[in-house]
Parts: sequence; C-alpha cells; structure tokens
Amino acid sequence: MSRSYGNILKCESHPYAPLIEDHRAGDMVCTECGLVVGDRIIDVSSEWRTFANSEKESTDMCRVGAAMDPNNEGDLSTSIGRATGSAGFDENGKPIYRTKNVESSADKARRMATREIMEMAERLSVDKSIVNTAQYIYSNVQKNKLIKGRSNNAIIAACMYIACNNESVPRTFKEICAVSNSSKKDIGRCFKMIKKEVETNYTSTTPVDLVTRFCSKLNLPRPVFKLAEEIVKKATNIESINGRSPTSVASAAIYIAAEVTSNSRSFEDISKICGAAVTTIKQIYKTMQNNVTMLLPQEYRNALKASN
Amino acid sequence: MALRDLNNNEIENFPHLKFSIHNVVCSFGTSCYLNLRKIALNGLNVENKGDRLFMKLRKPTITATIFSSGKITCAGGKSDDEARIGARRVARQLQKLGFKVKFLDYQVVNVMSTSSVPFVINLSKLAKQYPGDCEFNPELSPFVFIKINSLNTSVNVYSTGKLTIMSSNIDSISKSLDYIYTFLYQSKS
Repeated sequence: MSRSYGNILKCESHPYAPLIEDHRAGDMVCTECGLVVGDRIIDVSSEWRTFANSEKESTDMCRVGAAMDPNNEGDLSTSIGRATGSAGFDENGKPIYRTKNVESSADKARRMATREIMEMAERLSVDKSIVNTAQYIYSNVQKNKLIKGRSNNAIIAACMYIACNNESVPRTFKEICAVSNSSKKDIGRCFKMIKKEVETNYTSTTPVDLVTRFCSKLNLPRPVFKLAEEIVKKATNIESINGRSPTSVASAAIYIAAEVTSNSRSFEDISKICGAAVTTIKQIYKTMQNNVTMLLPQEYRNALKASN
Repeated sequence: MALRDLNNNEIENFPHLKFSIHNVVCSFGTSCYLNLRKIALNGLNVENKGDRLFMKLRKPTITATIFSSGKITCAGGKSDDEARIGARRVARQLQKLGFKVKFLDYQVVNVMSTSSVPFVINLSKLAKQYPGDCEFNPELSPFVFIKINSLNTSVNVYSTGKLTIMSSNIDSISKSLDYIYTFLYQSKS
C-alpha cells in the first residue's frame, strides 16, 4: 500500500523532503521522519551478476535477441522458417508446411537492397558504417518514393556513392560502376535525383581524396603519396586543370610523382587502376609539365625535365 | 546598367551577349482525333513509331510528332517564325488528308540556344559562388548546370566560356544572359 496522492510519492508530513530508495526492502523512505512512503518498489537492475569472459561463448544472459538493426526499427515481426527435421516432410519428401511470403513489395525491395549494398561494400572493401549509411539513404528514398521508375541497381549504387562520400572516403563513379550492374549514366542520374531530395552533406570529390587510395593500389612508397598530394593541391589553381574530372587529375599527379621519384608507372597501369583514359592523363600531364615551377618543389624539377 | 565585380568596381565595356538559337520546340493541338493509320499510309514523309507518327518537313526543317489525340509537337525550327510556319504546314497537310483540323493553343515549349563569353571560367569557383540552383559534377559532366527558376531557364556553362541556354521562351534568353554575366565575370580565371 503506497501513500501516494495522484501518483506522486511524498511523505504526508514532509511533502518536500527527498525520498530514498531502500533496495533491500524495496521501500521509498522519507529522509526526515523515516516513514515508509512506497513499498514493493520493483528493482529494475540486473537480476544476476555477469562477468566478462565467464563462459567461453561469453553470452550475456541479460540480453535477449539480436542487435537491433537501425535501418529496420519498425519491423519486429517474426516468420516461420523452413523445415529441417524429418517431421517437417511428408512421405514424398515435400515440405508439409510451405512458408507463404506475406511480405510487402517495399519490404522485399529493402531486403534485397540491404543484401546488395553489403555485397557492394565487400567488393569496394568499405567500412560497416558506410553500409549502414547507404542502407539508411536507401530506406529514405524508398519510404518517400523519391525515385520512380529507375532500376533498383542504379538507385543502390547511387546510395553507395553518396554514403562513401559522406564518410570522407569517396569512391568515384567509375569504381562504383565496376562493382554494380548499372551504367555510369544511370547511376549519375539517380544520384542527382537523390541528392536533391535527401539531405546529405555531399561535397564534390576532389583529387586529393583519391590520391592516397590510388597510390596504395599502385604499390607506391609513402613519399610518393605526399608528393602526389602536394602536386594535386597546387594543380587546382591551373585553369585548364580546374574543370577536369578528379580521377584524371589525380592520375596525372601520381604519374608525375612516381616518375620523379624513380618509381615510374606506365600510363596504362595508372589508367587501369584509376579509371581515367590514357589520352586524358597524357593531356593533363602535358599541361602540368608546362607548369612545373608551380607544381613541383625544386629538387624534382630537373628529374621531370630529364625524363622527357 | 552598371555591372560590378567582387570588389565593387564597375566593369567597363559590359558586352551585350549575342546568342544564336539552334532549336525551337513548339506544340499545338488540333481539336479532333487523328487516325494515325490513315496519316501513315497517305501522308508524305511520315514514319510510324506505334503510338505516334513522325512527319518530317523539308522547307522549314521540322520534325512533327503527331499523337492520335490531336496533340502535335514540332521540333527543329531555327527561329520562332520557322517553328510557327512549320507547325502550320503540318496542320495544313493534315487538313488535306481530310481531318477537321484547327490550330489551337500554339505554344513554344522549349528554346535551345548557344552563346559565349569571351573569357575562360573557373568552374569550381563559379559553382561555389553562385547563389542559387547550381550543380557541378566534374566526374559526370564537364559543365556547370545553372537553373534560373524565375525565368524558367537553365544554362550549361563550360570552362571555355561557351554557354548553352535552354529556356521556355525566347525573351528570357537575353534576360538570363544579363543575369548570369556578373557571376561568370566574377569566376573568371
């Protein structure tokens, strides 16, 4: 029996006194007079003690079920799985109970998209956080039906592109195109549509973001990375290089950095890894050659002139 | 009209930008249903694409898309006069085929024109500075796409200074060029 009035526990004689919870007895006690104000308080702390690594599987008995997927918060339904034991099959070997899929097309699409996004992330070797972001963007797009009539693969690829960009590890359209089924044109169109509707902090990919990754793919030593980065940062001031695709600029910068530190890679190698066309890289390389004094520090300028 | 650049100095010799119209698309309605099969069999220079026909005229070089509801879209005119003449010629041809054609709701739908600015433009600077609807994806396309909603125009700006202007009527082309010129000048490289 609790002495409460309107569900606020307080002592009758000391209405403003703070109450202390007595865990052992399950009481709320008034600090002034010791009157037990509320009893049978339910203790919501853990029922038993758990230690880290107490069992080999380190199962926490306090927790129930799998971790909640942030993209799937609304869906708490369960479904009956396929039969495994002998009781589930009749004499002919057919399953007795066939699971009927009562899944809405939206949920099905989202499930397929989730799987596809995870596969793409594997191929791109990208983090789990990006997978979550991409799934979130996709569910956003799907919920609000922002894109009608575009192939699902293109939408998924566009979500992936945006997610990578948001987490500051941008993947170029060509890289995403390589791991997905749709064409760069389709992905680009979907991307433009999504960008308008979904709030993202999308910043246009700059060559600086790409240089590090391409250099490591080409197995170039660390000093070359830094040199290429520097070249790229200075190259954005040159007029004709300004409007160029970031992949091409990065490729040309890497070519120069590699040449100059005697780790030279051929145009074809760089083109294969970076995705830019050989002729484009050569064109930008020529422009950069004309601006050597601006781009390269003193030590390397002669090396570049010598290698021509 | 005084143009000012970023430091508020007046830009002298503000050139009036010339533009040349490349394509005028217009549409009009005939207030009767058209029998596409009859037109395809009896009309001149007609191509069949299932639910619509393409009728190509030679004299103003116009391609008309004819729908069975009576709506007709004419594309390819080099000026609005040409477009109108072409549209009327199409309507006349249909009249000769026996349909009770009227020339209703003539409207210029789309005008595509080009222009150029005499200096090289720094596209990333323009994309950052332009205070409005503007897209620049260097990976996808080598131009800045500027949309001017009040004039119903969109402009593609290339780094060489060439502009492609798409608008819904001819008068807004020169207005949008005047509007854009300040921003282009400020992003001059």
